[in-house]
Amino acid sequence: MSDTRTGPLERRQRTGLKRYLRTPKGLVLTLLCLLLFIGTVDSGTLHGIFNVCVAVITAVVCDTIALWLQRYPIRLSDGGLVTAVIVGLVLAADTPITVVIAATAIAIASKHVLRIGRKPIFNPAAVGLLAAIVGFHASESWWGDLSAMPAWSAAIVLVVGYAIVQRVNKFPQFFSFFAVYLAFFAFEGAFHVTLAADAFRNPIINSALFLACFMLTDPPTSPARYRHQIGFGAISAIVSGLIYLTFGGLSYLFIGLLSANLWKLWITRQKSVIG
Amino acid sequence: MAKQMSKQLIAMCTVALGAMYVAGYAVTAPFAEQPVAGVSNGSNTTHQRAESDSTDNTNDATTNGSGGTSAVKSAKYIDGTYQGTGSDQIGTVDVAVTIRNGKIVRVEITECDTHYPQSDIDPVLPNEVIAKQSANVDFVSGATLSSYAFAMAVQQALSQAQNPNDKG
Repeated sequence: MSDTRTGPLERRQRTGLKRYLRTPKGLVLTLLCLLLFIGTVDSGTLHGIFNVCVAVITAVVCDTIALWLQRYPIRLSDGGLVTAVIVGLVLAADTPITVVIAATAIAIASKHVLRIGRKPIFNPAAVGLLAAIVGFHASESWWGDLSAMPAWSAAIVLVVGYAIVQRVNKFPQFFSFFAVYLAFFAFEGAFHVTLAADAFRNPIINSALFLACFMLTDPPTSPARYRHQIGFGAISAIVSGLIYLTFGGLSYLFIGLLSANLWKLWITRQKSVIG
Repeated sequence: MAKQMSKQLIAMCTVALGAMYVAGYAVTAPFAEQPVAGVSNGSNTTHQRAESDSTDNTNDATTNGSGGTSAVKSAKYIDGTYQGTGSDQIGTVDVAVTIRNGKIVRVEITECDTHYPQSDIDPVLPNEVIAKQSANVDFVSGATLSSYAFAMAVQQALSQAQNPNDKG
């Protein structure tokens, strides 16, 4: 009955939205919003959502300025939205608004400045969040990976993450990351390294899952070929593990991912030189 | 564009990773949940409380002085505001401890770069330090590592505040 009342324009808009949600960016935005919702309900505070909104507005403004400066047509960048939501989900809910704005702006700037062709070299969210730690000593609670919830929350992140990994066809990367991550820390754990024990538990395992599913799999900054994906995941895990055991802190996953981004840049250069 | 992995292969890899995870979890279970003091020096501890020789006797009579000059001179801590930092594998907690009349009157978490939100330990632990006049706090369940980093930070601040004339 209701279908007969909807006009062709409305039907077309609805079909367009459905089609958009099936795209990788549309799906990842939807799934991140799902984690945002669960994290907010669990925390019982709207501070996190506020941070995400601030990050999204900052990303839209920065993207618009960058496109205008480069004389590209002005449009809404859904990649920028994904970056902003990730930044908002990782920064602690009580992070000052200036830090949220700065981290997001640095992330978006890195996307436009550090690039080859139209593809960014480094994962923008990782750049912004690393800068937030180093430059602003920001608190990063990774509340979007549901680390404040009981241990079983990792299963939710895993199920949600699998949906996006499947959609962007990055399972080899995901599996190689976790195979190396788990083997590395199990080996260290055999020597009773306490830090290694934490790597198997909340909140460390939740943040590793979140990174592997939502950041490592970013199509422009990660390789498409399966054998390259395996190397990419392994490099990211081994560098992360070494930094974690050596220095601790919160930056180890970002440094691991950015190292893998550099490796991807190197193989891309090699291909272009040979090819 | 690479072709998609088959569902069987995805399932097999998932099971294999699940087995690796369970094995790693089991191997590390005996020494999990132990706070680690200062990742850089790698020193481990099995204490569930922040033990502190310098702060254990904080509730001694020396700190119970009511503000008299002699009492303050012999107080355990010298008046002022002292900074301390505690870190572990999940990040860093910075505190500012204010001493007045030889007593801890204010503990502020100035920075909390950890995996957990600051609200997990703030204001519970600062209030506990003021109540106990000691860094020897009970750890907050679910934020053990943050609690440990906090206790370390307070202990560091209190060691700077230590009165050299104190005989206690």
